[in-house]
Amino acid sequence: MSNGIRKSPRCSSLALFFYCGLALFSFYITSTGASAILNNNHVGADSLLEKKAIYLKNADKFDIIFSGSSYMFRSIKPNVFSERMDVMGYSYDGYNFADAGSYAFEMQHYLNLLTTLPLSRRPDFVFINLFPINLDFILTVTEENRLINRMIRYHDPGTTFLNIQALILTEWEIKDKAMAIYNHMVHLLYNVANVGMGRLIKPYRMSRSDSLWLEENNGYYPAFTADKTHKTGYTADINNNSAKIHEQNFKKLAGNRQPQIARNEISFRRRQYQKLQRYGIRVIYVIPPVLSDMGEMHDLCQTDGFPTCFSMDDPFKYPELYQYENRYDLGHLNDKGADYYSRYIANRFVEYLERSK
Amino acid sequence: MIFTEFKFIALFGFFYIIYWFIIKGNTSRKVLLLFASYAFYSAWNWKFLCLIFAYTFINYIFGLALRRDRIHSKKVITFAVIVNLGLLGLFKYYNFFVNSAVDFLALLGFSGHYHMLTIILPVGISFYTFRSISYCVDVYRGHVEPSRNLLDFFLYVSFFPQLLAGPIDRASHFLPQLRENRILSGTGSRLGINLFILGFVKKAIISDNISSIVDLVFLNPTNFDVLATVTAVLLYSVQIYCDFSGYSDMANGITRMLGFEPVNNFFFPYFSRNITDFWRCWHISLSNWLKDYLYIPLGGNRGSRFFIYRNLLITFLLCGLWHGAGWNFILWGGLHGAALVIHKVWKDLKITGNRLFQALWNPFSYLVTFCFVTLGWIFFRAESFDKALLLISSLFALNRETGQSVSPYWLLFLAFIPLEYCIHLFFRKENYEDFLAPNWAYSLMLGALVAILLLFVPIEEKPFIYLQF
Repeated sequence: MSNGIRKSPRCSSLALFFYCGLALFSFYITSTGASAILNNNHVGADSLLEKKAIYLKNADKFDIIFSGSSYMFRSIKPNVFSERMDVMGYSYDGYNFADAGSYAFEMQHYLNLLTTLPLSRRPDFVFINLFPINLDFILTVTEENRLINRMIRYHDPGTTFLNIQALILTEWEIKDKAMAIYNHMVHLLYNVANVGMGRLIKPYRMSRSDSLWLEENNGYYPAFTADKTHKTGYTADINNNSAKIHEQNFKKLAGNRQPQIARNEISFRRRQYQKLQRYGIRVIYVIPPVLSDMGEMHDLCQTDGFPTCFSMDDPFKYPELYQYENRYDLGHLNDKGADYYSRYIANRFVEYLERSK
Repeated sequence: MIFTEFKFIALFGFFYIIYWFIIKGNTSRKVLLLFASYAFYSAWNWKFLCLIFAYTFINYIFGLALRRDRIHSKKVITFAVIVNLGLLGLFKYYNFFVNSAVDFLALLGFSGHYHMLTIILPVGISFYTFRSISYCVDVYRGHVEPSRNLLDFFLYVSFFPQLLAGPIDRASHFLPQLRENRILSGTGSRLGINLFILGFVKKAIISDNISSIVDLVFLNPTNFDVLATVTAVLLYSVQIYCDFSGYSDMANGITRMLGFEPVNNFFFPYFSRNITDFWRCWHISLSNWLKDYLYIPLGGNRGSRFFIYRNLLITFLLCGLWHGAGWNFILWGGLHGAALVIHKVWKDLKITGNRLFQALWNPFSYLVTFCFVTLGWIFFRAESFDKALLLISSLFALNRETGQSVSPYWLLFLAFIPLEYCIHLFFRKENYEDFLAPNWAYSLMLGALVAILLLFVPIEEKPFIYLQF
């Protein structure tokens, strides 16, 4: 070097790896230490699902567990569901064991917890909302979690490890696996990087409303109280149009649908329901009322040996679920819509019970 | 892909290992560097790969032609400059000139149809055009031998650390380095890492955090009170400095890690006593380029005072235009040109004054320069000329008390400017060689430092401001 600074001896690759290892070790220790002294809404803190899991471990028996992503978390009110069941002469307690932005892999990890519960407290049914388990979906959710800072909760080292472990077990192509694992690693780093930012995101602060979410509402939190007008640029016209397009697509697809399910989708779900059924927990899958094509999920429900599916994405059968005032956005129902949805699910469940007699 | 992205840092880590530990030999390393440079450029827009390839090849031919045909070399260099500027003009200025001409004709009462190009500006085009022009002119002047090695020349134009936003390296500085074998030096790599981290702090921690408040106020200045507007204007001068000098530091850090000698692009420009000093310390590679290839050919300091002032004004009007195709940029350049003329007049008057005057004037001159530069940035930052005027009017609307306010704590970011200078003075004073910690300690410190720095990085990544030029 011609800058007047002493030349050091030539570096060897071994030395480089050693020093990189030291730097990584130091990075890990520092970031872990920093997260320990910051607000509890940070990496390493219990996620909502973890808190719900702890609650479930100690709570009395729930007959039904609702598991899944935001489609379940935002849309199922266990109390409304139970009331409706009571009206129809059945007594079933439910618990909303779902969380927004939760991956299928993470969800599976927490469902495994149910199998460890003593028989007397093990649920009879698990309702799981279906959504595609493909690379695009995972990357979209990962990106969404990053953008709205949900990574504070979802990309802690434990969950990242869990997701990577599950990704390795999938039957994806190696490049897809590598891509998804890389993405998880990136978000883990971002998570560590943003431990301080978690304090700014008020809706996701746990401590304020833990009791409300976990106990009083049986895991449901009414966060989506507005209708679609809360989103800039959304008008009733757009909503009606998208609902109309969804109706047309639904009709078209209902008549002429080609099976297009990924092999990993089937094998993942098979492993999921077989394991739960081995422990005496019956599985019911739910196709949520989203304004996008869920054709793949319908195909999945048609596969041999697949458990019961409740298709709730039929705008003709459940018109209220597609009305402007009952929706929060294209994917989610609002608090009012959740009332309808919980009752409809109860109705479907009663039909199922009647048929099973 | 920008330098602060995790993707870039991870890929560069892999590249670094291959470059130094797997590939052997100078030529192989150069091939790998060229491949990486093109891959880096295609990450922005692969469609422009053909453009940069054609650009480079044409200039390579111009270089050879200039040396081979001495008799017609003037015609060749004229043609080379026209081709380079023509391409730049087509991509960057065509729509601006057509729009301006149409507006002007409309003022005169003429109207008609005109054709606008629907093309996007190839990233880095202003920088590699200037690099190509400087090469051709240097060959013409005999300052540099034309490169016969196609690989070397392609690498000179597209060297990825400097490709998108400079520094504008000269062929006479870069090409000889390509001929030498590079040796991996631990100290060199550590210096490179240090520079990269300094740049990262400036860009990702200072500039990106500031941008949230600056963007808000510049978008709707009338919604904010005077103090908020003043805060935003002051902070923008910190933001643009940290953004661009941060980019340059990171580029220089990478250059150093790859075994090349970088070009210094900034030297504490806000500690300038006058506007001439400022331009000696701000975007140094561009200032030198403008001096060597525009100001001096225009006549430079030769001739009467009128011609010197004219040359300065022309140079800085074009400097403004180079930064962006908009009247606000031209005005910004014009303001700086005018300030340079005024400073020259002041110097020519040779007002020395007594000791008391000098003691008062010296600190005042720093402040005046900083205030002028900061006010000038309003035209640079505003989306349009009208928006700039709106912001200036709200800046001086002292009677306006309504409007949102911003926390005065934002002004703490201003402290980064003297802080960086103090750190520089400290390292300059200390014997740097003795200050170097052993490698194991350095690695531990580095890991901890990165973990701490990442705590302050905002979620949303912002592109570098100078990438739009």
